[in-house]
Amino acid sequence: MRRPAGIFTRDDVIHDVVLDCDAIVVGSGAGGGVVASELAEGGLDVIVLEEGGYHPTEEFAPEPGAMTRKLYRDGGASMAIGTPTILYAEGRCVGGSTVINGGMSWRTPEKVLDRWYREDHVDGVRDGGLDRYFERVERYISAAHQDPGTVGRDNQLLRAGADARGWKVVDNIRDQVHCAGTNNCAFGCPTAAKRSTLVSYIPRALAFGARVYSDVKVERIARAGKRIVGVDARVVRANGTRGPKVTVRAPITVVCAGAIYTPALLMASGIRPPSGALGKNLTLHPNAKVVAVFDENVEGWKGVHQAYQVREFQDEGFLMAAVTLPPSVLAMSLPRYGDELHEIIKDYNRIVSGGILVEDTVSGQVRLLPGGMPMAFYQLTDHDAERIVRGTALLAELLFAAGARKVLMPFDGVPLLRSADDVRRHVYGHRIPKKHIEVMTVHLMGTARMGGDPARHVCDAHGKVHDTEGLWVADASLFPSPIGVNPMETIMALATRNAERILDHQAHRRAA
Amino acid sequence: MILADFHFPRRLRPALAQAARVCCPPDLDELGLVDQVVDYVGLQLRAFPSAFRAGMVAGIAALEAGAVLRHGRRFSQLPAETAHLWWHSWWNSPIAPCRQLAKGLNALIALAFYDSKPMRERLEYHPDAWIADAARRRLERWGAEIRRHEEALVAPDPLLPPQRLVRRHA
Amino acid sequence: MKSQRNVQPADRDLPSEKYLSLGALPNKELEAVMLRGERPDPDRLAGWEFRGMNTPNFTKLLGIKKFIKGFYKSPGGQLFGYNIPVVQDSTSSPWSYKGGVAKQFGFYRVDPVDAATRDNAYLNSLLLDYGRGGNHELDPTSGLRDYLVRVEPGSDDLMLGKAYYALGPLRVATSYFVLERLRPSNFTR
Repeated sequence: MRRPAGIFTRDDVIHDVVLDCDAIVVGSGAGGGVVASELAEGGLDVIVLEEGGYHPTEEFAPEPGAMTRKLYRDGGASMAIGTPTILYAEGRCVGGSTVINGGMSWRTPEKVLDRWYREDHVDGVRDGGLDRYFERVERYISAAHQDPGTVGRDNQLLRAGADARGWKVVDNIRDQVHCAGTNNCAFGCPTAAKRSTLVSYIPRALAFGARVYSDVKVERIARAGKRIVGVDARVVRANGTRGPKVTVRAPITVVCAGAIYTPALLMASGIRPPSGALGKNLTLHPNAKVVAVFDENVEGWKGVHQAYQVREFQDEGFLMAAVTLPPSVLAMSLPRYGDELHEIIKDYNRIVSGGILVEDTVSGQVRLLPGGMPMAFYQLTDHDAERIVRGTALLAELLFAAGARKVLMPFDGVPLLRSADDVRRHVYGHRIPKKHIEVMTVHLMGTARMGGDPARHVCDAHGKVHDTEGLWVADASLFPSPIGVNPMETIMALATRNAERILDHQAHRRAA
Repeated sequence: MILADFHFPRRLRPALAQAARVCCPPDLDELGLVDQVVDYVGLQLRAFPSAFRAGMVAGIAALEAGAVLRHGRRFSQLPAETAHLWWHSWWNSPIAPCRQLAKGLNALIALAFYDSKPMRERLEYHPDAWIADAARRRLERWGAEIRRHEEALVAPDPLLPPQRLVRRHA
Repeated sequence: MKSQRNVQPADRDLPSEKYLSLGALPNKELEAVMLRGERPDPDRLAGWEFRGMNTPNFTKLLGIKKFIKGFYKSPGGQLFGYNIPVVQDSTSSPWSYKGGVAKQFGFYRVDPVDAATRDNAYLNSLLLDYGRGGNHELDPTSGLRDYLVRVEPGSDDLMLGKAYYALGPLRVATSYFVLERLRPSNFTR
């Protein structure tokens, strides 16, 4: 299979190499792909350094084990330490987490942008300030509703349950060109209908002359005092050991490595903005899952990954959705084993698995352990835990309203529920210890937060890292707060805006 | 893709096989999947962070050896009912690392078992055929529009007006 | 070396409330002001003197609580500056030259901070580099490095500074100081 011109892998870098360019982009996901494309089209010579491998669409298959090994950081075994421990997933491949996400494309809620302006002095984002960036992003990722006939029975039942309860439901907008409902989003879209940056912004960047080096991990940002002069990186060999050096020199570096690795890289490079906020403010939209078994055949895998969101409780800070996962992934996530587990999984084709997403009210931290490995620490609050319990209980009621016969909750010690009455009997009014709640997430945010006050923020309102020259951030670590909806489009819009500011500076400098 | 140069210790394979028998339904033996599950878990561990992997191996070793104190034999040598009891004691242990090992290992075994082709068949989960069919229908119906989108994707549309574009240096 | 020894000026402006309040802030808040401040415009400093006040109380004991800083451009257009000792009376009194006569000393060169150099503590500031001010090499003031920021966006009338002392490669923070525009000056060197 021929690689596109401009993409290099570990097989191409067999000796130490020194490269020069105008701008380095670290990471190739929602932030990095966008920045690379915009800067390259703007006339800069761009090099993208991506820690993960290059895996084209043809390699994507409904094989969770193989795909998590290929596309996910650490095979999917990443966790934030706290009570409870929270599993999280990050993409590590060209395209980053956009390759493995569900593709939901929402604009940032206005109340969030307003809050960012009022509390964090992020100018120019509220009252339509981001609209032209959203429009541009939506064009390139083809943000659109699903075609009729691609919604699976699982999502239809979610909608039916919500309608029966009179709850507000919205049709998802996703980054897709006529998605066929193959429901392999979490393991790479096998048709390229889902417009991850792998098939959208990265090809665009390449078309405008960017170079993408995959299997290259940036270990340190190189500086002369506070002036950033490039990066020091290494090829990552297939067995994880360090290969040849890749030294890249440039006056501009944009870090888009995600909310765990962006602050980790800055810390490891001795960059400590004066606010002391680097690595802090980690928020992560805790998710919890509910599994419902129906009498009818559901076969949720025959249909789009997520077609709807129940937004009835958005003001309370949580959303609901239905997400069908392969039986192996569903099984591994359930707090059961042996015959008890099989009792649920044997009915796989009659299962609807739903989940809630909570806009968290607390924040954690990313720290560097001795040896340089980043570790996330996050302590779920009682308030957020109560919302998880309430949200999953409401979701269970919705699923019973849609005809579910039994529902498994994400709590240790809560029996299988067989009716809405059981929800009231076993869940409402019971104090469920936090350590008994199974929580996971795929949204990590906030650890290099932007804002107008260098005494409180890591970056300015356009992602320039305070107290440095030549260093920007363009990923979810910029968020001053969680946003309560899927973050991809917000990341992309901010990345577009930040790229525009970088180009503007360059144009000014060269005109002067 | 990164896979560490790690090989699951041969001496612990019986323990992992026993854990698979506890964590999986009888279909595991019926379909002769024990070795496949053990191999799959070993492969998945190669993708995990080294500390996690080391913890897993140490945990399995403790599970194997600890049974001697409680039941007089290694975990892998226990009869089925006793092996279940020993596993259950880890699953519900007041000691967090024991509980975490049981849950983590169960998750890996479940992934391996239910990802196997025979179990997919039993669950009537045929994603490959579905994907191929859906992909074909998509191209038949929307092929031209998809191609137009791909062409538009790389059409010039710079953020700054052309007169302010930066000229690339040589 | 040309200098202009000014007699006690007729201008008897007293320090403003804003100036005195700024000088009374605790160090933590002064640090936040330093971080948030903008780089002053060199062209709006040249040809002016500013009343200066070191914020720590111990500077009164050392006789350097009150001072005057002035700025001028060299014939080549480079901005430089100087200090003038002042009578150490109350901060609510006028700033008066010690001995009734302006005696310039502790000269410094003024430039935007260069991020790549050793003296890069505040990239948003001007650096007052006493090591390049043309002072005698044994003059102890040669070790001083001051950073200066505007306190109010767009205005150079009120500024906050932070002083460091260079000991080889080390930089030791010594104090914050506040400046307020005082009077024009035609001093050159």
